[in-house]
Amino acid sequence: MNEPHKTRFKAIGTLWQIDASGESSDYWNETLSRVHSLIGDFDQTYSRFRKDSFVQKIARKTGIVAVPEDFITLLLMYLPLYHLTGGAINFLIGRLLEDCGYDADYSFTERELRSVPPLTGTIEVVDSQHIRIATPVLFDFGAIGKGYLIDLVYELLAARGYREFSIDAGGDIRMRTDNDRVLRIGLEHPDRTDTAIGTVRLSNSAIAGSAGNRRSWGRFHHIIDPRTGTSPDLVTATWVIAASAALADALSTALFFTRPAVLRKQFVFEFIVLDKFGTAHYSEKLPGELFRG
Amino acid sequence: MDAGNDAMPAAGESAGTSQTTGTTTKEASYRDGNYEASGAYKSPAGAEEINVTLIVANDVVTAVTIVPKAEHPISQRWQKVTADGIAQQVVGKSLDEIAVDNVSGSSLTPIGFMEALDKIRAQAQS
Repeated sequence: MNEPHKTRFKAIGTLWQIDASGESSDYWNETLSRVHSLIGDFDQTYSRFRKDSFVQKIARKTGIVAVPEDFITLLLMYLPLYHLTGGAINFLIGRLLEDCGYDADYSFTERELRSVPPLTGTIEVVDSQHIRIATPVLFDFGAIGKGYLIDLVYELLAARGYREFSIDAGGDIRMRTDNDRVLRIGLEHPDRTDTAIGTVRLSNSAIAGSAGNRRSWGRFHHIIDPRTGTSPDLVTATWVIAASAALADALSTALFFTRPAVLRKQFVFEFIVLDKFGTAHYSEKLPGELFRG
Repeated sequence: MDAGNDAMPAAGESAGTSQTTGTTTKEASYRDGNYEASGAYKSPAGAEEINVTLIVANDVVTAVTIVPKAEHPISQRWQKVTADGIAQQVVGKSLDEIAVDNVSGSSLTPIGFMEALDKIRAQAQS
């Protein structure tokens, strides 16, 4: 039995598409219901857009707070990025994003901007299930969260025995194959969504893209520099190909702030950075082609 | 691109560009040679200037040197993004001209977009 399965659904504010082959339809449907509960649990824990979420519930707390184990995992993933970007990637940016108008009501109304506390001295990991919070903070995992969730879904499918599949959450994609299968990915033009600036090939790897265009309001787009309270404007779009979706997601955001060479000291990845002049800057071994202007 | 535009001049364009050597190759969009240009743009920190040197051979940019003149630390970081990897001016190609399995970009790609992709794929296979 080797049936192809293709499923689309909306979750965490984006469109998902999961393609997989192997196993029966019944087994696939059972797998999908587990995927949905995994995503639901993740949203309930990490979404600052849900007033009943865990991160909203602990937003006024200080002292030692019990957290899920993967909360700690996620926190620790931020640390090298926080340091390499000079503090630009910071999961304590939640309140500032709200102040900029990127809040649970999607008010898009700017208020007085509060500064983002440094990680050091504000959050301390006590053990695998507890953190200590010095001052009340609203966690925002926007830089890594979606990629991390894709990785969790990936692990779930792999544990269920799937060998050939891809998971696409709003254009962030991770794929797996045992047969050198290649997924051809179009790189969406940040201003004209019916066109692509190039294509890349994915095979047992992940891609994440980030662009300021679609989620923008006033003087902001959804990437905001916690150090300045402004949205970076020299870079208009980035893509990163890496081993995991979480890493690709994190680096695609980090490239709005930091040179690729700085990030490449610590991480292995391929990249495309599109600047506002229409020039793409990309790594030498990029598996794909860009359309020359 | 007009002189005075706050964008970086690209190779082969006139504003502030000097070409030192050049040969024309078949279907090449750039002539071989060394190109130098300075560009000015406005960043949130104010007006900024950079010097750019490009070496073009067989229609490929083989070397890029960028010397930022910015004094603001944050702007320096952004400008130096351009100093890594290969630099190339790019354009969008219509998605119905290229066969792709998925699309990556801003993360709110609507359902209609993916459905349109399916239709294109179906047409291509019929």
